[in-house]
Amino acid sequence: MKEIAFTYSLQNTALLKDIHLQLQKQTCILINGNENKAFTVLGAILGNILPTMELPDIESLVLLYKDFSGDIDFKKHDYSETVSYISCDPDRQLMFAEVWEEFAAQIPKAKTQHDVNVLLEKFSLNDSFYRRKIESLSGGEKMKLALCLAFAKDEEIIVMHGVVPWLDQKGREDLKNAIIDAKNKDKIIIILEQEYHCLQDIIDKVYVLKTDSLVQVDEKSFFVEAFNPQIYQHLEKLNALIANKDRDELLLKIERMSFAYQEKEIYHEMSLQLNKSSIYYLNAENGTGKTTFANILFKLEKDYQGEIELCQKDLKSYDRQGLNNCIAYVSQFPESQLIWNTIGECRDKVLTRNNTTIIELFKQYFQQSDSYPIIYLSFAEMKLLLTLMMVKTNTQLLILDEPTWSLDLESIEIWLKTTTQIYENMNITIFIISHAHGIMPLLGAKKLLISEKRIMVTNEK
Amino acid sequence: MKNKLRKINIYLKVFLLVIIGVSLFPYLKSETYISPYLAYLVFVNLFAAWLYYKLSSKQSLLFVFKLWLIGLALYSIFALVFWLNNWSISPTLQINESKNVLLYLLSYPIRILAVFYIGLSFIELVSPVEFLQFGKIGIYICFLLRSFQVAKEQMLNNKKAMEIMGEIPESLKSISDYRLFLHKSPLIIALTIRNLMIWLFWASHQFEKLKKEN
Repeated sequence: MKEIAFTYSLQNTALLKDIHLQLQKQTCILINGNENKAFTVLGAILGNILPTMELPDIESLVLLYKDFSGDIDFKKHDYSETVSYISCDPDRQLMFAEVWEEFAAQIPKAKTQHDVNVLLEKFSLNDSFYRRKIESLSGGEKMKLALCLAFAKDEEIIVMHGVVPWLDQKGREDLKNAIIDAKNKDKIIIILEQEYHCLQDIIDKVYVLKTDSLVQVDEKSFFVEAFNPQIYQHLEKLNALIANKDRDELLLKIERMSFAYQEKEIYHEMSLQLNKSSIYYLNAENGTGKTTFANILFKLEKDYQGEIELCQKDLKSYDRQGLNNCIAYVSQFPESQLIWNTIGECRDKVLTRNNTTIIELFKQYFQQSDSYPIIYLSFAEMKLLLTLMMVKTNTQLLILDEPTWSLDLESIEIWLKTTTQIYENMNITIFIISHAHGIMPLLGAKKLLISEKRIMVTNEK
Repeated sequence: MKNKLRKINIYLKVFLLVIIGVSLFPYLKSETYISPYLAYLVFVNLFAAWLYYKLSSKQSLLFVFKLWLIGLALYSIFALVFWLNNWSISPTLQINESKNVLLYLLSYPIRILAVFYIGLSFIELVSPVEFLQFGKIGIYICFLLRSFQVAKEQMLNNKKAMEIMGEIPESLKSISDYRLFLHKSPLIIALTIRNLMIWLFWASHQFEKLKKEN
C-alpha cells in the first residue's frame, strides 16, 4: 500500500486541498475533472514532477511556471522514487532525437535490438521504429513510444495524464493489455483522463476533482452518461445545419495524387472530391497519414504527384497569402503555430478583419488585458484562439486537426458552440481530422477513411 | 557517409573537435601570419560547409549561412567604427598595416561561420547518449547537447510557422524579402527561447531522474 496526502497552495490560496489517496497494489485509478491548472498540477504531483527543483530567478521563467511554483504541504508521501509519469504531450517524455537513443538512455536493460523489439511489440510498433527519428513519428506513434518506455521501467506506480486521445483503436487495446499486465505485476496505475470509456472494464476506483478537492464516486453510475444535455443540444443544432447547408458544389478535387515521406509511400494514386459548405471528418489509424493530408493541402508538403485543384485552381499556383486566405489550418499543437506573444497582438489582428462572426467570438471568449501572455491560456483556449486567428473573411476550407483532443466536457461544449457559429455564418467547408471516439461519431459529418493508401468517403453518416 | 562517421569512437570525435576549435583561435606572433591564416580559415570554412551539407541538407546549410549574413551585417557596423578610428582589434597583436587590420577584422566572422558549421556537423555526428558513459558530467553534456538540438529544431519549426502565417516569405527572392526576414528574425529567436524554456522545464525533470538512476 502506498499513500499520498497533501495540500498545494498558489499565492496562499489552496489550489488542491486535503488531497488524500491510498493506493493499493494491483489497482487502476481513474481521476476525472475539468482540464484546468488544478488538474494539471494534480497529475504533476502524483507523477512526482512536483515539488519542482528551485527555478532560477529569471522573471520570464518564473512567470512561465507560476502554476508549478506554489507551496506543497505533504502530510504523507511514501512513493517518491518509484513513479513513471506520462503527460498529455509525449514530447515531454521523449528526451532524444531518435528512438534507439531513448531506449539506450531510459531502458539500459534492453541491451539488444531483440530486447527492444519485444518492448515495441507491446504497443504494436514494429522493429523498423528502432532507427526512426522522433520527428518523423506521428503524434500517436510518439505516445505509443512514450507508453512503451514507461511500462518497460520497473517503477511501482505509473501516472498517465491525457494519453488515451492520442491512440487509435489498436493502441487503446494495447494500453488496456499493458495496464492489466502491469497490475498483475503488483503495479499501481493512475489515469487522469477525459476519454476513459475504453478503459472502464479495468478501472477499480474513480475520483473526480471538484474545484480543489478530490472526491471518490461510484464507478458504475459514473460510466453511464457520456455527455451532458447541453452538448447534445449543440450537436442537434449543428447536425441540422449540416443537413440544410450541404451543397453539391465542388471545393476541392484531387486526381491520382501520390505522396511519399522519407521513402515511405503514404498515398497512392488517390482521388477525392470535397464539396462546399460541408463538414467532413477523417478517421484513421495512427501513422497512416491523417495530418500529412492536411499538410499537403496547406502546402507544408509539396512533393506530391497528381493534380489537386482548390476552388478550380491548381494548388501549386497558390502563393502563401492566397492559400492563407482560402484555407485555415488549425494544427493539433496550437502553441507551435501561435507566433504572437500576447492577447493584445491577436486582438489587433482580428479586429482589423471584416468578419463579424470571428470578431464577436473573439470578444466573447478573450476578454483578457492586452498584455496577457498567450502562454498562460489553457490548451482549449489556445486552440480556439488559433482558429479565430486563422479564419479570414474569404476562408473556404477550415482544417481542424484533432479539435476535441484532450478537451474536458466544458471545452467540448465551447468547441461545438463556436464551430456551429462559424459554420452557420460563413460559407465554409470544415475538414476534421480525429479518431472515431468521443463526440465525433455523433456528428452528422461525411465520414472519410484511409484504406490502401487512399482517402475515401464512406456512405455512413 | 553519415552513418560511417557516426560510428567513430566518441573520444576521437571530441579530440578532433577540440583540435579544430583551437586552430580557429590561435596565438599569432606577428601580423605577417594574418594572410596565410586567413587562407587557412577559408579552407576550413569550405571543408566545414561541404561536411555540413553532406551531413545535413542544402536547406540547412543555406539557413545557417543566411543567419550568419544577418550577424555579418551587424558586425560590419562595429568593424567600420574600429577601422575608421584605427583602434586596436587584437589583444595580442600590434597590427600596423591597414590591409592586415582589414583582414584581421574579416577573420572574426569567418571564424564564427566555421564554428557554426563545425559545431553543427559535430552535433550531426554524435548522439547525446554517447556522453552518458562519462557518468554525471556526461549527463550534463548530454543535456546541453540535447538543448542545442532542440534549439535548432525549434528555430526551424518557428521559421516554418511564421512562413505558414505569412509573416515571413517562404523564399528569399528580392531585397524586400530579405528586409522582411531581417525585420522578423528577432521574433524567431524570441519564440525559440520561449519554446526552449518550456522544453527545458520538462527535460530537466527527465534528466534529473536519469541522474538519480545512474
